[in-house]
Amino acid sequence: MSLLAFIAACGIGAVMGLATRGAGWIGRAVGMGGLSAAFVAALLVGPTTRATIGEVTLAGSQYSGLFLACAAGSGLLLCAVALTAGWPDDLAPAALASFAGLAVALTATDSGVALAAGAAAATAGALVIVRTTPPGSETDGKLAEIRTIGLTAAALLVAAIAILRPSWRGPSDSPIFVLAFLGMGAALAVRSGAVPFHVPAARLGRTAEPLAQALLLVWIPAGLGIVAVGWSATTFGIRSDCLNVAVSGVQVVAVATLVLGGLASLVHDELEEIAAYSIIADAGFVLLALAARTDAAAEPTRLWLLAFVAAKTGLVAWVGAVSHAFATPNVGRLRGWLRRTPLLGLALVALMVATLGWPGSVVYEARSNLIRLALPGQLQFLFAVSIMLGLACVGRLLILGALAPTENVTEGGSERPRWAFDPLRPKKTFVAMDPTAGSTADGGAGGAAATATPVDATEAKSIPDAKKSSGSRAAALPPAPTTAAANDVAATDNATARTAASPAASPAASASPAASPAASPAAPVPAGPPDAVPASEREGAEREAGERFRRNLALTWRLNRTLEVSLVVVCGAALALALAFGGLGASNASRFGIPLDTAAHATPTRTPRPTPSPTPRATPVPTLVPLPTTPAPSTSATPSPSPTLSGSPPPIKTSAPARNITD
Amino acid sequence: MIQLALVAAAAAVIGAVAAVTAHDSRLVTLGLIVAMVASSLASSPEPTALAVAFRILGAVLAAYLLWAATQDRSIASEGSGIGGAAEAIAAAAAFSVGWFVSPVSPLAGPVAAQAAGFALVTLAIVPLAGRNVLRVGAGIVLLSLGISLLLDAWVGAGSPLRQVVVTVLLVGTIGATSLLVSPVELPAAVDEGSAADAGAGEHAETADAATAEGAVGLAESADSATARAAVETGTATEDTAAAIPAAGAVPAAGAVPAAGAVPAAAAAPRRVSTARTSKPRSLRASRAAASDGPTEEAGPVEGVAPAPPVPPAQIAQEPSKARRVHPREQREPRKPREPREPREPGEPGR
Repeated sequence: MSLLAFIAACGIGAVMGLATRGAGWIGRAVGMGGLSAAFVAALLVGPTTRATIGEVTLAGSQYSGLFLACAAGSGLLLCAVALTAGWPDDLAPAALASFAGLAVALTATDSGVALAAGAAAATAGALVIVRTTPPGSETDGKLAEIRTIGLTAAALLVAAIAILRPSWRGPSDSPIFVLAFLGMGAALAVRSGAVPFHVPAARLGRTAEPLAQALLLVWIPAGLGIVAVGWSATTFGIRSDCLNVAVSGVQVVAVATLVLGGLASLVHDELEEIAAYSIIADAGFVLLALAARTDAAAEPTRLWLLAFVAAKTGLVAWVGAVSHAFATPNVGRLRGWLRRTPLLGLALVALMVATLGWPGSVVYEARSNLIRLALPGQLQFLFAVSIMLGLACVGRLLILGALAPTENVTEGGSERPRWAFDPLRPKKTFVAMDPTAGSTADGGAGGAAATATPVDATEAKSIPDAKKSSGSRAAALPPAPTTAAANDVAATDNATARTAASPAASPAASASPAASPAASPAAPVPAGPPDAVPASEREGAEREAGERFRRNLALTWRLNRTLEVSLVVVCGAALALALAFGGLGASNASRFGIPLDTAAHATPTRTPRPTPSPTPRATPVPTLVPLPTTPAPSTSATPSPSPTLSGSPPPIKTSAPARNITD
Repeated sequence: MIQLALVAAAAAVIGAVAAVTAHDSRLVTLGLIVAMVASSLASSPEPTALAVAFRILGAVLAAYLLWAATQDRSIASEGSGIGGAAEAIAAAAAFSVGWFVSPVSPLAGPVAAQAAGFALVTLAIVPLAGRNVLRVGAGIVLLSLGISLLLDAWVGAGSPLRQVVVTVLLVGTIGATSLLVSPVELPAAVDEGSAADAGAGEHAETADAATAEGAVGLAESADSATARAAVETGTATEDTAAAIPAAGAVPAAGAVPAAGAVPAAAAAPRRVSTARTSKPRSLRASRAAASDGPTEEAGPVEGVAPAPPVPPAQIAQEPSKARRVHPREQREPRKPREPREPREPGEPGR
């Protein structure tokens, strides 16, 4: 029931989100509500969750529930960041639509249904592509996206044909399996932006909506990766020279993605491109899992994908937060960002740890196992290379952040708390900066004190109201740096500002015609014994004080947007850290996989690959090394050993036709 | 007795040929809907009524999405590069090959589905290599249909859930195409514009005098009326108010403007129409226009000959001319052939 609830929440949320996009807070509420409902429903998906539609059973599992919850939660977190950093109208509906497709793909026991649903989920990415051609570029974002969708759909459908195993007439169906394997690999590589197909992915920052990288490069490829890995060990475990060549091709792409993606993240200067290449580089591990073709790679892949979804979504949110706080995504102009936003620095470090781990940690071992299982011994050093490149990328950002701040950073937002009133003496003061005087307040507190003007509470409230009235697009723009700096200074140097607010201390303030009447509402309530004041006046004063307090609270909330966004990003990083270290049930869920894995194992394999290693660890032979050409024993009628499913439902009847193998 | 699967397979191929060869987006849409509906009937055993109804509903929804995206815009398919006849012959050849070969034995579905699958996959190859988004999208739909037909033929009729999922995939693909589709050979400035914008953009892009006249006249008449209405209702913006004399002068006076006046007039309606169409324009268009920034405002185009205005009555009779331009019409006008030199008395004939 919870599975159907998840699909219904995603479907209804996507449709309603598309219908209300651009409708201001209604569209945002619908998007956030849909994601919240999907998140709650995904948390309820478990091994006992089943739904039968026609002849196909949708069976939940602990892992599929956790993955869907992780994806929906990541989407929710990203939308929370987007509320301040700029709301992309189509991101939430597109995410919900793709989550619905991925839910069917991850729970269907019919491989044809699962792969077609995965392909359908990939089509939702078109919603977030908004521009045709970046200025001065030969890349057509829309054309690239429609080609990506087409290639993904065709590759997955071809893979479905091979996996469903029709009764081929020829002596060998190896070419079909090669085609299917290449289809799977191509779908994963194209959708995740692996190196030969990386240019459109890297330019998503200019061709797609803000924060759309999470959908196109993280969530959809991760879902497709889980589906693809299910058959890696069984269907594609056959012995065939052609298939070995295809596997070598996938390995080459994966290695190139790991290395070149990491290098590209070091040489680019736009944060969005750095994040894109970082995601692309880590997506190479999914290709490695596909190329491993062994059951041993399934568990680390599943765990890695959970950490990948959480950490890379956090990275996209981090980029959005930094770009919004300092009004630029250029690394050169972001020097000194760490001094202004230390929480974001903490989040970046946490995201790095969640991605790379350290020796002995779960995510570290998962990455290490994937490289060990998928690559020959000569290329095992790539694990260290990938870690070094990841560290260098994050280290570069941190070092730049510790340098002297640039003008963008100085004028940008800060995580330092700002108060619209003095929290220690709320009745006495309410001093806000005149937005017109903020431009001269950049020099420091002295300048701010010299130009500060006491304004009326309603006038002060108009600072955020002006931003609010300009609509969602305007809200996406960074705040006016002068105003932010003035507010910052006013908050941090409150005493100076109060001094400046007094007519005696500031000639400019005293000369202002609005000074004395404007200050009167904010003036303290006349002191005196309560009995001396009439009850009606006292009630009025209390009501006015309460109203002023609420107004100030709202103003404080709006003044601390940078801090709030940073806290959300930190929460996301903490979530990624927990998942990467096997917490929140990630380790346990990764052991069992999805029901499709059971179906794939129940499907007879033509020529299962014998375990070549006599060691108990069953380390497979690296596939770049030519396999011996001696014929394998024909044990295809015997199902491959299924993973032990403790506490899981009984084996699910697969729809793949069982037939006698002639080889 | 003619089998339903054979008829459906033939109809699917015919629809696919129409979708691939047509220039008009409406014909492309029609071909795709025929192919989608017919392909659902080409499996054996025949799908349930509910599954067929869902496929038909999905096809109608997909067709509506594509139709809604391509109407009132200068969006067209590039058509076939090798001609409709050649496409039909290629499809027939692939159909024949699919009819006679048997890679799978025994076949789980009808041979007609296999033949149609071969034909659709063949037809989809060339469009996928193009750069026209509408044509690429049509190719993806045909490719998906072809592979699903092969799946039905080789593995057997799919479960109802597979029918549903394949339908969702097709609708999603066409929906993605309708979102990503772009005008043919037009600058980005007129990508999401209104009809008047498209007409003005076409004028700036092409040297088609008649189309340009219609576009400018239509834009001027529409914008001047809108601007006046805005002034009367008190909702005029600075741009709207400033555009009234520029836009209204030409049709009112009916005089032939001086050289250089047409580019100015073409720019003025664009500026006005940006403000005017911000409300009725689709949200996606508004967002795209906002994201593209002010650099995409169409300005005067050099080298375009000024054209006299066309009476509004004539424009009203031929509105389609200002709205849609065939890609072939956007090519540069053919240069006049140079006169041949007189032949000498003793020179042999050419």
